[in-house]
Amino acid sequence: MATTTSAQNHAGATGSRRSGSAPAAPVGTRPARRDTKAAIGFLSFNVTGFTLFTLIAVVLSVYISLFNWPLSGGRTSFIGISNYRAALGSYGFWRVVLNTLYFVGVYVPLNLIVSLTLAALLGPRVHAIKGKPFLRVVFFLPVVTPLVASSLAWSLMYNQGGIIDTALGWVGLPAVPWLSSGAWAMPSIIIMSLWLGFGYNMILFIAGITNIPDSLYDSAEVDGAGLFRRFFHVTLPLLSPLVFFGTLMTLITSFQVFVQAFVLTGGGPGNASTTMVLDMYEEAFRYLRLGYGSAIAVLLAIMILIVTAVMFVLQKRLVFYEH
Amino acid sequence: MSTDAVVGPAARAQRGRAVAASATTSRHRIRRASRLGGSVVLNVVLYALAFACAFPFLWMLATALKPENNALTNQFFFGYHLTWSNFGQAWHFFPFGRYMVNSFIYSFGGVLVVLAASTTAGYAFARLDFPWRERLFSLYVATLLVPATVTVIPLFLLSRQLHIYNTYFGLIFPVSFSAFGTFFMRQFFRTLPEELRDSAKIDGASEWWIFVRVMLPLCRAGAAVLAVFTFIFYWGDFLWPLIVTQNQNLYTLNLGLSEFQSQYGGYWSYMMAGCVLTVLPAIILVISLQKYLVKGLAFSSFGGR
Repeated sequence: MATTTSAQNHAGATGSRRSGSAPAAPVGTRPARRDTKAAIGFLSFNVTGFTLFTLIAVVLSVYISLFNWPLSGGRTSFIGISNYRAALGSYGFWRVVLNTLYFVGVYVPLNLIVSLTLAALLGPRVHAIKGKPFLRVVFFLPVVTPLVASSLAWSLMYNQGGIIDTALGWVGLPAVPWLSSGAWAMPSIIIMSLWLGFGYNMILFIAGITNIPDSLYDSAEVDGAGLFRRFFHVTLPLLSPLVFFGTLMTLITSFQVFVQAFVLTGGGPGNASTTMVLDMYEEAFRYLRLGYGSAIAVLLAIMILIVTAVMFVLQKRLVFYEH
Repeated sequence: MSTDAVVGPAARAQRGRAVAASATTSRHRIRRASRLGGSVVLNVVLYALAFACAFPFLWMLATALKPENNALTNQFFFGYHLTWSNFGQAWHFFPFGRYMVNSFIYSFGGVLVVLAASTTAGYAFARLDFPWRERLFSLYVATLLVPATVTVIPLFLLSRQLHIYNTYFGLIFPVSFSAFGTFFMRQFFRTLPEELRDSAKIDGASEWWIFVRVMLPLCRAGAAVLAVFTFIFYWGDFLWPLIVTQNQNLYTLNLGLSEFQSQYGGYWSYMMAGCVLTVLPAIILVISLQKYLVKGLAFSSFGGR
């Protein structure tokens, strides 16, 4: 039961403005028997926390970004959009934006390719694979592993002369300066992120494939469609709402990549792998410029909102809904 | 080994169809043979991939059991004396026991606050009738669009202002009121029939009695899924504890590991021992609760990191 509700609800989750605005109870038809008093009781805890720690925090993030706000305890002063002007005018900031876009641009497509392929193979339609539940758990484990610990393990493996270099040597490939070269730092982070991230989408897509009716595959097979054509003409279109949801979530989270860069490279060498959230953290809590850090955070939020909006526009063209 | 043992239902179904169609049997035989070869290759590739996927964990454990002076050798469980003493050594550098207790306090505290806040509000939004309900709910949903990292700096300033900076309270509360839990629980409460509440009310039950004794038990599965996901999220969370704690006594395991890396980064065996301690609870939880996870995953907010 829960599976079906959840599967239907991503569409609801992503397009929730529609369902949210439709009143669930026909207010007009029922006599005015409202539960306002009870509602205040049930809501007070949540609304208090939500107002303080979510609503006010969101407003404050913009507010702080308009100030010169030293963490060290110096005087705060209103400086308008100067933080934004400073960020947008600095080479360092654009480097960080490009790093983030590099990460998102390479990581998200790779994640989707790997997770879709594995979901197709480990879903219920391909019978040739043994021990699917075991494989699913193994592929999913990295998703729930605390990021600092898994990043440390990877940094050990990426070490010069470490196990990855050794393994490359076995197949005759040269060692790679994974974390120590500007060119390889970001690919290292991407490879590690792929390892830890694809399992989530894989499980999501497996749940979606399970819900596709058998009859569609049967008729496709009668029409002589092979494995690949069935995937592209049956699975993919029917899965597209979920693929949209998974892509959107992956995009949003990958724009906020932080721990991998923090632990693996510390953003280096130089700032070759500094991401926007890492930059925000360092500006705010290492250089103690809360205002400037907040401006970076707001610019990141704007980028994510733009990407989300673009995704919703694309959704109308690319996503196939049955109803 | 018979072909059926390897190919299983696929081959049997294929054979059934072959009989039904009773068409070019030789073509079928060829196709079946190639499919058999293909499926062996596919299985080998997938299990190799699974091994690669599990390898960082295995390597973590192999290194955690290596004598420290062997830590950077590329031996894999063999060729060295397995030692558990690294766990004690890690403890010697940093109070990992304390960190673990803190991680549990942070995670369980987070689960409690999130559950208390989300079930009550989720129920109100789903089943109670009050003015401005939909508008308020839309406001909640709108904040889902704001990435969590954006509010970290204001939350830091707020917790200093509220004098909860560098306390357990500050660790837990500021990050426990995302709209997600409310949204999630509302979906579950909406699946319950409206009449339940009406009939309980006719029997003279109070709103809270109905909620605690009737509604909540029916949404147990949903609350369990939310609890597991919240636990895993808090267990792995790094940015907020990093910002809101100053005192080592409040450090979680993740902070301890990061601190260990910056101070004693060369002691790989000890560090990996600390990692094993951090990873183990999450892995145990996931393996024992697989069923719930798959159901709730679709809903979870930490997708595709």
